[in-house]
Amino acid sequence: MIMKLGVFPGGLLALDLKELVIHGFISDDWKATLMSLFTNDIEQSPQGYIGSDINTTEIKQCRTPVRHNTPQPIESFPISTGDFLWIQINKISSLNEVLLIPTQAVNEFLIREFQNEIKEIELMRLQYLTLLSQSLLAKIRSLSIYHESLLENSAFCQHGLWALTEDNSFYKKFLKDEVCMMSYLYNSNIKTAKDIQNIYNIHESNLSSSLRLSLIKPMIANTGTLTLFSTYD
Amino acid sequence: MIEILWFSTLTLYKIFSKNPEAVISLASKMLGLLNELDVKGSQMALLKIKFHLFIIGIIVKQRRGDISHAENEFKSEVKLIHELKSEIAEPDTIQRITFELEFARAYYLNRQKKDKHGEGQKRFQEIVKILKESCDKILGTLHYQTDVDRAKVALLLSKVQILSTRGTADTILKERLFSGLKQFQRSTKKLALQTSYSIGYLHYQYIIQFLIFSKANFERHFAQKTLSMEESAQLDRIKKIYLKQEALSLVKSVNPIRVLVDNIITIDQ
Repeated sequence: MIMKLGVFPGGLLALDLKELVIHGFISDDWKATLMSLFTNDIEQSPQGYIGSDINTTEIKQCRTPVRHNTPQPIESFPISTGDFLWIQINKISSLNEVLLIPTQAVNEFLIREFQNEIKEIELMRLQYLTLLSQSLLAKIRSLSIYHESLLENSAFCQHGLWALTEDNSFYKKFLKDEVCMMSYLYNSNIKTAKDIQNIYNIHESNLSSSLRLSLIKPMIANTGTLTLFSTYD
Repeated sequence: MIEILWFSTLTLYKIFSKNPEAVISLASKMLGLLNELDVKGSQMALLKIKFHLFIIGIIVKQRRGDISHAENEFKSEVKLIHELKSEIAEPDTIQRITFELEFARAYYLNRQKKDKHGEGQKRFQEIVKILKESCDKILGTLHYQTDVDRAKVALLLSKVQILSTRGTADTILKERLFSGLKQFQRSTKKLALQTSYSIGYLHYQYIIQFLIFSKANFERHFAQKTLSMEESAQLDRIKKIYLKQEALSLVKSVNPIRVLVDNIITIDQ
């Protein structure tokens, strides 16, 4: 569990962990494991922001009216919030969610010392982030938060040169029938530009960390063909 | 997988970031990393080309004000794309890349004309030439997935027609706009609205030109007669009534506002 959480520098929401179970990336005992480690009676660290309530960055470019969710207690996942030895647990009231962020030291240590051991986990992480990014784009489209422009030239386009090719194995396996899209993004609580921006802000550093070549290069080398896309997509 | 992940990560950054320079910087960083991977082949070349086209999109579209200074950056990206194009094997993909480059060039010129260079009409003609003689021809050679591209070409053509003082929409362009509208209604509301606006505006432009023509005819008809002051005043009143009636009948027959409203209603539904 430490390794699987530790490779996401920006952390994961409890919703992400549920999603990882759906996709078979982690086992469904994650909740029990975390609850046994961080039950409400555990003494919290005196440092940092114990029981903190992070408000993610305001969306300045929000183009649709902002809907304010009424924060409700996160009853389904009673867990202590605060700074712990290897993890920081925060409540995100805007999403009514718990965010679990590995400490930077843990993330760096895993990458530095366990590069071989985390190869499979790293692959899982990249697959999950690919699904997440595609799902975010689909959600942005469906909510009309952003509109394609005449000279868009981005992954937001779905036509011509920009359409995902049907012979791409990742596309065939996960995206073609849209069955693997993030189910939590279609949850009724996520309806506005602000909600989507909150989720993006949480995952921005996770997405940026996909640029770590130190982890991608060995994967390419393992394919034996120097082909970036054959084995791992 | 990396292809999809990196490009969608970049797109999300573009959507949520307000700083075009930072977006270009991330795209350039990604291009640098792709070069570091030292992987050859058609697919890798295409991915790099997409990143360069992405950068062109930001340079041309998102840099405000006088964009003529962006010309060097634009040319430099185009040069890199041409170099990478030689690594692509599929003729269809090469044609699509050429289309994207030509369309970007037309779009760039269309943006430039706002910069008071005093060469408006010449520039309009050049844009129309690129769109009709390059873009349309390329699209004609492709066998599938060209509807949205065709709709975009039609929309850019109409924008040029609207801004060009001499321009009036021909029947073919109008048909293309209506067909493009249907495409955009399925995918992007913003472009659908822009197309609706273009259709309405081109009809409006047609009415104005008809009225100017009618007024000229009217005046020519009475020019040869010597009129008293009273007759002249009467004639002015008649002219006004005549032109008003002409305008009303034209508005009734063409009804551009109705076209616009109908389309907005359709989009909202």
